[in-house]
Amino acid sequence: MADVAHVTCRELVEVLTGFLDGVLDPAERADIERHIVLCGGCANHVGQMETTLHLLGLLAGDEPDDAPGAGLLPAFRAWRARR
Amino acid sequence: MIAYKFLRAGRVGPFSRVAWPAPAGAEPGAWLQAVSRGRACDGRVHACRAEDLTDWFATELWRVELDGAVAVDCGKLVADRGRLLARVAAWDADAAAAFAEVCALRARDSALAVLAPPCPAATALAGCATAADLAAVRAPDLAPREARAVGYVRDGAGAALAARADPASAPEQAAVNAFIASHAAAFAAGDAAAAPLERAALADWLVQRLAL
Amino acid sequence: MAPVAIPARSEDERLLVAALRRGEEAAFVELVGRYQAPLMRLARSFVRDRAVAEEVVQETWLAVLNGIDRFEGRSSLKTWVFQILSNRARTRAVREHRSAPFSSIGGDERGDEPAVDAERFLAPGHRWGGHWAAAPADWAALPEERLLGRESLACVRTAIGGLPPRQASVLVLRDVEGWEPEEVCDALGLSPGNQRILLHRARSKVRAALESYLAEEVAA
Repeated sequence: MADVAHVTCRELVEVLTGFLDGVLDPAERADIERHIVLCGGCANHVGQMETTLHLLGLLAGDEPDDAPGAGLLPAFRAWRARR
Repeated sequence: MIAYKFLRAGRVGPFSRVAWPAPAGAEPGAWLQAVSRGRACDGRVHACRAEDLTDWFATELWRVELDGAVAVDCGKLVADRGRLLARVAAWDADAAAAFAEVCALRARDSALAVLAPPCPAATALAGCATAADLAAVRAPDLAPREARAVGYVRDGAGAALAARADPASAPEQAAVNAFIASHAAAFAAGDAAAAPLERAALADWLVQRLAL
Repeated sequence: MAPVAIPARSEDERLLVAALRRGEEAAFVELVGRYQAPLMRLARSFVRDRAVAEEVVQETWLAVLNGIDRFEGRSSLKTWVFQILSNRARTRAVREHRSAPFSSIGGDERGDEPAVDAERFLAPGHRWGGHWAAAPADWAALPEERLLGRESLACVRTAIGGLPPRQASVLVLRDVEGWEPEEVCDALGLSPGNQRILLHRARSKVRAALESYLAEEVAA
């Protein structure tokens, strides 16, 4: 058959998390890298995912300060009193 | 051992995003130790042999020295550490665009083996000397197999012209066209094994052009 | 009852567990300071209602205190606390499954969900079948204040709110809290493969939501 084995964009988007997590085997990983070198669309897709991850990371510091931790102290003291 | 490394502008690794230390005059750059950077990184230094160059195009090409345990792995050289020796100045946007054009012309050669004579499109394609010539050829009413072969040529011509129009994109277009030329060769031969042979021929062209 | 021997997972956690067992308030305050906000974020990936999530977190802390003498260190203290939360939050979510977005607890995660719409790719018959027909744009071309601005964050938050709970919980721990995959598997009781599939689907949906939001921005 004349089909040259290669990664398609459709395949790349499905293994991207494995690629970013470093769990692909070396051959698969090298195939993905070769594809990104020649595919501007996939390079953009990877860039979009990296930006998405960056934004997700920002959420951790972005929550309004409404975690009601203060109300826990009476519960703690009651627990300690029971011990 | 001596090897080659494609980097983004500013000596930045395309996947690691690590900036390799620059050589100072004739002195090699500082050793880049293998350090893990993020989960996607295997923590080793990657480079390639001349025969693998067509897989890894980027803006800058450097001659590098690798040290420690060096392994050939999936079309890459993987080592414990590496350092930049000197930039291959002959690899620039012009060389990348010239490579892309050679690929388009070779895809044309592959297509000629598919087009059944007498075929006006074959005659027209055979007379082409540049990517612009290839892009101007009209080839109506082809059988599906012929149309596919000519499609590779058209794609290759388009990428070669894009490389000239936007020099910053030339390395990517070179990579696209090595891919296209190898697919066109395999398609014409009816054999996927023709693809690596085409890659090898393209790498030879590059080695000569860059005097590696 | 004599407490079980304190495990030596990490010196920091060993000291915290010992101090908690002695009833030291400072240790509890320290622990709450570390995990209250992440616990709330994880709770809300299971139960939409804010007040219910707060209750679940409160119950979790009580369970941590009541269980600290029996904490054996098979997990780290951190993942143990989050295991307690995820078990409680799941129970709560099932009880309250009338709430629309969570009607399918773990439901739609077995079906075939492509990361990107199939229409975005060339058809298999094309010489470049499976390659982009409509390629993603280069976001680096957008101004950073637009790309990383409050509206983008709001879009991400909305997208997380629309995820099935298991996907949302993995995403929150991996990508918001920055946990390692192994820790997430431990806290949520997932195999590494399932963890990755859930994360992949969650990330893909958030990216897609951002892509349509930013495309509207460019078009506007």
